[in-house]
Amino acid sequence: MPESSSGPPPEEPLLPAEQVAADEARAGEGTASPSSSSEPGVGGELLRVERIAKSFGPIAALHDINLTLKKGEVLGLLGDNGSGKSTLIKIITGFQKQDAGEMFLHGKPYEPKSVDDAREQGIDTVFQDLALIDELSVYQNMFLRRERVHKPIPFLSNAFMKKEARKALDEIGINIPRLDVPVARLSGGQRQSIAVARTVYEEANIILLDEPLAAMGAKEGAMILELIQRLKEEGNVSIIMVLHNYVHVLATCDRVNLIQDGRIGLDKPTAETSVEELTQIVVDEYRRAREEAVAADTARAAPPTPAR
Amino acid sequence: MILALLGSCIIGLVNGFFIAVVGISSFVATFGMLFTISGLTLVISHSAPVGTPGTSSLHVETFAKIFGGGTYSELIWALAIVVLLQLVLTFTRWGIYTVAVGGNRLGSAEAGVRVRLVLIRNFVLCAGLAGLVGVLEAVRTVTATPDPSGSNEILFQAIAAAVIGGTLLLGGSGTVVGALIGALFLGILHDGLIIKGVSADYLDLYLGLAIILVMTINVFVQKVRTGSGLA
Repeated sequence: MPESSSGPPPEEPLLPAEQVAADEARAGEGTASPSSSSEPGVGGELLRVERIAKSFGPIAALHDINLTLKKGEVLGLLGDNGSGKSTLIKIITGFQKQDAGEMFLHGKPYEPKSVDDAREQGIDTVFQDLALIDELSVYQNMFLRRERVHKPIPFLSNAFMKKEARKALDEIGINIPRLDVPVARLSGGQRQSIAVARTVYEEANIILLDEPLAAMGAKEGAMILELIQRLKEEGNVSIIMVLHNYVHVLATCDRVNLIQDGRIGLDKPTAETSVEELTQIVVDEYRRAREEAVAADTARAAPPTPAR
Repeated sequence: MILALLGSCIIGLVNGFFIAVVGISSFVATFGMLFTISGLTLVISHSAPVGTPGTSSLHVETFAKIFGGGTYSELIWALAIVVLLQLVLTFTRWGIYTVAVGGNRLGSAEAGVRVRLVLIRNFVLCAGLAGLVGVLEAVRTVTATPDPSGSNEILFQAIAAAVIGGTLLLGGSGTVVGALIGALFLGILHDGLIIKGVSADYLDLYLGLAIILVMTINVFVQKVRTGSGLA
């Protein structure tokens, strides 16, 4: 059986005092008005990210991110390439440290020291690059850093892990004939599903998925979306998912947040937005960026750039 | 002997520190350390050979028999270490993390593996084993000779064996059994050529050509395997 996480169980509601404090804090947020999701399965606040900022040298990836995730909610995170979506995911999962800002989990300060620490507190991640090791086999990858060992001598329990890996993959419905082959030999979709399966198997309270459908064929992608739908219906897990495809966002997520200029520029329940609105926002952003670039060029007294 | 092994481990620790914490490439750090230690041995020995304590050229004691003096002593050590390390690689967290960090350092870190710790402890292990080879050789030859070219011959043979066995020269991938097969290949070829009565002048020439030939065949076989989907 998977080890249980040390964090509070997902069923545990916020204490009244914590709820009040959380509500007050949300009311005090200047940007991105908090939205009440109309989804019936969505409960109280689980994770809150406040005024997170992160720079890499001269490049400011995140300026002032405020975000909340409610229990049982699937939150879609959108944004242009390089807008800082992955950076935000890495901060929440303890892989990177923010320069400023705070996070709260179950209303209490949440400061993950490492990926392991975040996992122990019930937050697990599928990274954009999948964090798979080509040389290791399917089941070794599935249990990387989650190995099951014999007692008292801590030798790896390979047979058990193979069996459990098979079970977890069957549950998702992904067919990988052999579990002892190196993952280098698998297709992009199969690799992705291994990364997703190992996170789901861990039974985290919060799952972060950074582009879970990248490199996937339509059929494999549909399986992953179905799995997310199933997890949502079970209601034990909350999900933040970085996606590019607006149709997927509207079909799968309860709420959508759009990162623009290092801030959350839009926070809406998916029921209240549309592909057209999301597209329009992004088109406007592109137009603005282009106009700024042209203006900057002109200001430098360079030869006028022809408008394309 | 324990002091020699401990000293080696400390050298490994220093290597590991520069590679994992400072961030120097492993090839450069260990290369630099090679010169440093070769130089240091020349300085502290005043360039003169020293007799290995506990050994004698007239009579081989039990201690010496076990640690390199016996006919098959070095081979038995090699086989025992191969079996032990292969078990470690397959059945322990240490082994899995070692392969993981070698294969994908960023991915390992994202999965939660403590990359620096894994790197450092493996450099300590490597240096400890290199120290053991030093002890075995010193006991076998009864003297410790501060001759950089002499020790480097063993070094190059060891590297050649690992590379022939499929280890990437810049790190990241390889197997213990592969290195053993590489070492056996080199050893058998070397001894076979001598038994055939090949002139000493031609020995290295033939060895080098044989290595190139074998590696060419290896690449070809690899291509056929992956191409047919059997790999």
